Amino acid sequence: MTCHRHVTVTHWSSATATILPDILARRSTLVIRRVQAGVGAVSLFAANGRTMLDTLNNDNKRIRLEDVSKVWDGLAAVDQVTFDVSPGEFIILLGPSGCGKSTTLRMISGLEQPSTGRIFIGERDVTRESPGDRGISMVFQSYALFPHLNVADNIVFGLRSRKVPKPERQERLAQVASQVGLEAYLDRKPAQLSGGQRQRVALARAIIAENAICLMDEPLSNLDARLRGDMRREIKALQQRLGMTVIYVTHDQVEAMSMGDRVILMESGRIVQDGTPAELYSRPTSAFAASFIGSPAMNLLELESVAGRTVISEEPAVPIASGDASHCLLGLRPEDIVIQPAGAAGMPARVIDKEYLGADTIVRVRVGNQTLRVRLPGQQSLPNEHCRLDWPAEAAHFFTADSGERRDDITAVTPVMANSRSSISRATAQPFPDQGVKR
Amino acid sequence: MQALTSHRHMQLYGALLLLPAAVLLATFAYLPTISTLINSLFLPGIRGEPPVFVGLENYQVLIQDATFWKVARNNLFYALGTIPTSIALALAMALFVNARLPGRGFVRMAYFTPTVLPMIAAANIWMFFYAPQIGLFNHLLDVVGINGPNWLGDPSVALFSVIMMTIWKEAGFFMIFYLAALQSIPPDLKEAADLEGTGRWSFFWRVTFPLLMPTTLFVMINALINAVRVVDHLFILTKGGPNNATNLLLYYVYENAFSFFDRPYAATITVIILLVLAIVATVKFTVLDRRIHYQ
Repeated sequence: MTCHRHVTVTHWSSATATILPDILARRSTLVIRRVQAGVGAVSLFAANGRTMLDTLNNDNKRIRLEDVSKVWDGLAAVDQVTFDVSPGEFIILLGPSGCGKSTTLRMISGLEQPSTGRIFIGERDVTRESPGDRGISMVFQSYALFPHLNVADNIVFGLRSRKVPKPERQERLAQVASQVGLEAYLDRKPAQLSGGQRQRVALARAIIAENAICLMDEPLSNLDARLRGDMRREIKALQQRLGMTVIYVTHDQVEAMSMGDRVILMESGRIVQDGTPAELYSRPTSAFAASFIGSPAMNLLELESVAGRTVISEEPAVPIASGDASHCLLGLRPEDIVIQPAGAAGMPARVIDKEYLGADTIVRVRVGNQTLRVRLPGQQSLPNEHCRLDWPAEAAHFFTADSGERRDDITAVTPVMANSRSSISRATAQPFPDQGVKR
Repeated sequence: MQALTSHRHMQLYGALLLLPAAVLLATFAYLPTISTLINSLFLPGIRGEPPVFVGLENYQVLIQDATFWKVARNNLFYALGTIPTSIALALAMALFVNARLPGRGFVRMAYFTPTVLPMIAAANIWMFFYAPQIGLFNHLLDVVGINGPNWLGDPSVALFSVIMMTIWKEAGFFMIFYLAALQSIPPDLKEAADLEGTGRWSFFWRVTFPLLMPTTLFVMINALINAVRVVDHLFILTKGGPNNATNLLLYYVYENAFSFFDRPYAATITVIILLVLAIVATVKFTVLDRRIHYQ
């Protein structure tokens, strides 16, 4: 193959500009991009005879954790975590602070030793291997740039450690710098860079090693919201183009949903749910998972049993499930609820207040003794007080109240169906004039 | 017009804020320096007669004074013997106690103890170490069958003995600065380097040492000043002897001023010391500053 490395590398910004902002649209284009990226990656690294990132042999990109735990002073920060990462996959470790996601990442990198359990990269047991021998790059939350070295020296730091000859170092530096758009800043010290530029230096340092695996520990948390959105797309595009396996730690569910091929949700050192972003959104396996994904979070309502009917606490008029689900929570996504006039059928509710956010409006309503958030598109004019709520049966999730476990054995009843006073169906229900059509 | 007066006001305000520090500095640093300079241009007044102005005659005497040159050479050896060694030792100790080791608080304290001791007390302890027959060193050497030297009495060994003690006293002090600097280096730099398979030695020379350069410069200037500021332990240990073998500049100044009562000559030596120190400090700051990264 005579193809030179530079030819296969598209420019950073031009590559990302083609990615559509809409998540769903992006997912379908990614399939095509991935194929292109795979082809590019082969020619990229076969040209120079380096086999570190070898897309034909994916063995060094596979990661497996078996019952990995980390115990500090008798407290398990990570508790018997087991998961597999396929080559080229973008995995998100998601969870609130202190859930053990960063510790898990540090154990994969070798910066922390697991108390028990084993870690494999490919078929190799790396549990006791030193970080430098694992073939892993890492982007730190603080970027960990060397303050006394300029951008170029920061990027090639690891290549110097690995005794890569100078001409090759220069060549790879030029290539990586153009990929992340840092050509103009190579002589600057980190202190002279903006947050986003520092982030790019950290990224460049991670990809210049051409390791098959890249770990990222909340890399975007020090950036402002707008830049974070751009960097999300750039990191994802870079990962696709290089075919890297990425494990990405974050507490931000937006990053998790938009970037991850798969999301591993953790709580108190344990894995709560491991699935695609769509699975996490549409089928949360626990009340915790339900409350963590979505903005605003899923409403969780306490249920009680009145005269053999399952109802929302202190709202005995409308049953919401057939059978007894009294020790359960009802989970409803704010975007799945429809508000109707007081005269219509449905769950009686009272509007407390509303928050206009531009694209949509978050309305707080009171049902029984509980408060729900409802998300409506655009700007809404709502009745002052009384209204009716409705939601489709498939939008109702049930969880056991104490353990938070998902219950699939309960059949939901929509408020409209349950409300015997009216026979208005969901299809014929009149929305408020400017409410528009619900998704 | 209004703006101008308010600007004046601010200037006055700023000057007033500077005043206390300026008064202190002038009283205790600049005025003595000037009076020393003036003093060095006179002959000492004998029996109440006013001092006689002699111009640069004291400086001519100084150039021909063999003892001064011997003392200056001693001081150069003393500086070369103490500064690099104590800095290297301080850095080594700081790296050691910065690592995770059991009882490191105790070790840090132990290293710092010599600094806490007053110089006179430390010198007295070392008097005992160095004593020819009953001293600790010679006693220990006796055990292995070596006839130890007369540490402070032998002109060829005495300066070395004084250097040894100074290193012991200063290294712990400089260690504190290095320790503080080491603790300000973020630990994730080490982690980032570890992931690249960077060796310990390589990390030290490529990251730790460059990041410690501001501290090293500060410590170097301090060590240099200390090297020409030695009076107290010479006073206890050797009184500059034998045959001026351990006499250092400031002690020579002290001897001239208070033993030989030749204040103008003492002032002359002081002026020379100040000049040399100023030049060295300027060179260090201007040359090294450009290469040092300050965080």
